[in-house]
Amino acid sequence: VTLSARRIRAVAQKELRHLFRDHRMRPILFVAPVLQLIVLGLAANLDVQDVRLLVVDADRSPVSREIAARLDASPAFELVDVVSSDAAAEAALVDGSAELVVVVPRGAQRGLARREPVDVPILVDGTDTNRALLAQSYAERILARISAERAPVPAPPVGRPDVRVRVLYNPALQSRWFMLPAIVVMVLAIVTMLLSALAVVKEREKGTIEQLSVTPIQPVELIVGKLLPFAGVGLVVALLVTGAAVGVFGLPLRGSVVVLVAMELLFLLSTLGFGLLASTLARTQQQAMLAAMLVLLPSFLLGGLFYPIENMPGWARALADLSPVRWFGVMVRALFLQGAGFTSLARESAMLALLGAVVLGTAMLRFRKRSA
Amino acid sequence: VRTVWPILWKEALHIARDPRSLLASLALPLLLLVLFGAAIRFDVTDVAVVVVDQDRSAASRELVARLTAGDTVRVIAHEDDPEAIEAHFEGRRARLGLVIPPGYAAGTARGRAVPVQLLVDGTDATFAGQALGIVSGIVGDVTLREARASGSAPDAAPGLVARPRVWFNEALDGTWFVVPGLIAVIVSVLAAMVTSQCVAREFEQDTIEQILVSPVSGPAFMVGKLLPYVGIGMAQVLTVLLASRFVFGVPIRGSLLLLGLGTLLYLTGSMALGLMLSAVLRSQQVALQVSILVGMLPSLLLSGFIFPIHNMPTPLQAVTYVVPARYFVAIARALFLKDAGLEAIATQMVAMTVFAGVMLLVAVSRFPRRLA
Repeated sequence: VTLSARRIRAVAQKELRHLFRDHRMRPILFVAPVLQLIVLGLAANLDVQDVRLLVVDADRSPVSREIAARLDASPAFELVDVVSSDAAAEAALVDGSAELVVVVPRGAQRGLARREPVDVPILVDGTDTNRALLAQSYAERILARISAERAPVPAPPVGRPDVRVRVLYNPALQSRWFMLPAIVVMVLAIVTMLLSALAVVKEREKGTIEQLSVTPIQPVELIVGKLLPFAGVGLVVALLVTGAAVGVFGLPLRGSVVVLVAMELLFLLSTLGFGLLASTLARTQQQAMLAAMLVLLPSFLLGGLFYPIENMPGWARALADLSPVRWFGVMVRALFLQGAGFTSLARESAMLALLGAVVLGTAMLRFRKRSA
Repeated sequence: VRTVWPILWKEALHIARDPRSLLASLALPLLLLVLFGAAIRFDVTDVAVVVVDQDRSAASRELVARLTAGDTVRVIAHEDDPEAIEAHFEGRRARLGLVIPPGYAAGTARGRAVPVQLLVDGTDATFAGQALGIVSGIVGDVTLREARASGSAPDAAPGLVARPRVWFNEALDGTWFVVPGLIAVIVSVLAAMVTSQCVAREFEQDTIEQILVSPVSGPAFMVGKLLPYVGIGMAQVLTVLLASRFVFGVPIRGSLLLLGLGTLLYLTGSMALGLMLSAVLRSQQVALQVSILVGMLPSLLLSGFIFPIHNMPTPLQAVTYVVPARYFVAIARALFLKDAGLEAIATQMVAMTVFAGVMLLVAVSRFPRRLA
């Protein structure tokens, strides 16, 4: 079979015209992704800050007031109230107005002065496990500092390792810098996959697929012609959201832009392929959508975009390896934050290319069979 | 009101005629729940470390041995040059690097605190923070044990002793945190998708004209369209609830009646949103893209499911008030893990009712009165 560039161009032109004939598609395709990136980028903050803190002050002493003030001064906490009864604190935990309660018991001031150990109960709402753990350890650290100042213990003259921490790539450990590349990946995957998922099934629903099959066009030409405009749209969207991540949020792009764009094209291969596969499997647009979501949602949640893959059980990791999002996500982060060169991305790009080829190949085979 | 029935019946027939979609919409939530509930873990269980031991002494080897004594920390490579650590970070083989300087053994033998450098790949801020906590905890423990061995640190130090106690999610089980929120996300995704199709389909296939010449009124049409999907949604939630209770052991401590009522309100709201988009946009493709934009992404990212709403900038917090998933996530968390009463979730209930009402009104108002 020889492919005709002329026929491919004809399909591509028809598809482009279809895509933008509905004047609402332009803002949906190009403006919405940028807005999404900005809104979600603003939302994507997992830093433990402003934890709602309630202090139960049974001591009413300078020490108890200092504890409340010092916790409140930390960016991790926001003091919502100081109460005198445990019951009020428990109610606040249940209705969610407080996430962490520090109880300063009666006699704290006296105990500290006498250099006795003073128990300070800390009640944590454990619903959000990660936030609870970190908030608890911040509170413990602040309490330790206060008691070191008020009841100092001389440092033991013992040989020991003194750990000095240096954080690379994201020195302030901002969770937003971790999330922004993930949002770029998500937005790109959604836009392109939905486009191609509806591509074939729409013709089938309207019956125009039969008209196409009586023209001299080959199935492969039809697919290539249909996907090319989508790849073009995807590339423009990729540039727009990348630009917004850098321009609006100051996310550093330390790697090469050329490599990033090349990887984005590689990624489009598999998202368009998955969409096409969904389109050949479905009889209605609705079914195609369901199929696309079935792939997208697990990819986002298991692909390491929000939750580290290292923490997952082995079977889930193996499953994640099948998702292009998992490999592209790693690459986008490495390119933005680590400034990784192409060589250190070789494994990921090979996997991405392999997945793309397999998926797109399967979709084309299926399409050819159905249309034959 | 009598005309609601025929529409409802017709829609139910439509649904039943496509058993593939019906089955998918029931199995999908269950599959997603089991997948994510089992795979998403917040507790760090695997930290890969590169060690650069420039001292090569018994003392330095002992420090490394203590670090890796548990199951969590794993040494994946030994290097001679600290510069080599970054290559491991960029190849994503390790997240931490430990550099023990020459003279570590000699220094500690003389009773000094010898600086030991810990390099951290800060790309994933949350993971890095937790890994740092684990490693510095182990090293700190080394320090304390040596101090006790030399008799210079008393066993019970004077001062404030934090006694943390975790509430609601006592074992800090990440699944307990994820599952209630996950229900909200799964349901809203499917809800908006399914309903955004059903009215647009009538417009695309021109069957809307037949409805218009029949005695069916706008409100009856919309309600009739809505109810079958609300029914499917309730069935989805029920299966998901049973799975979360019996597969993952997530407790439901609050009132089942309130949970059911909350679910019903949330479902109606999400479905009505889809219906509204469908009626306003009148094209399956456009309605789908938009329902993902205003349905799936916000319920994933602006509902408090992944990112705490409290951490968001104020204007964005204002936006979350029109995301119905926000209210349901709050209700689900309050009723699963806490035994919250009606007064704690009344605002959320009212908000969801208002949301559903407004969406339905808009949908009805966009129902054409006569043929165009």
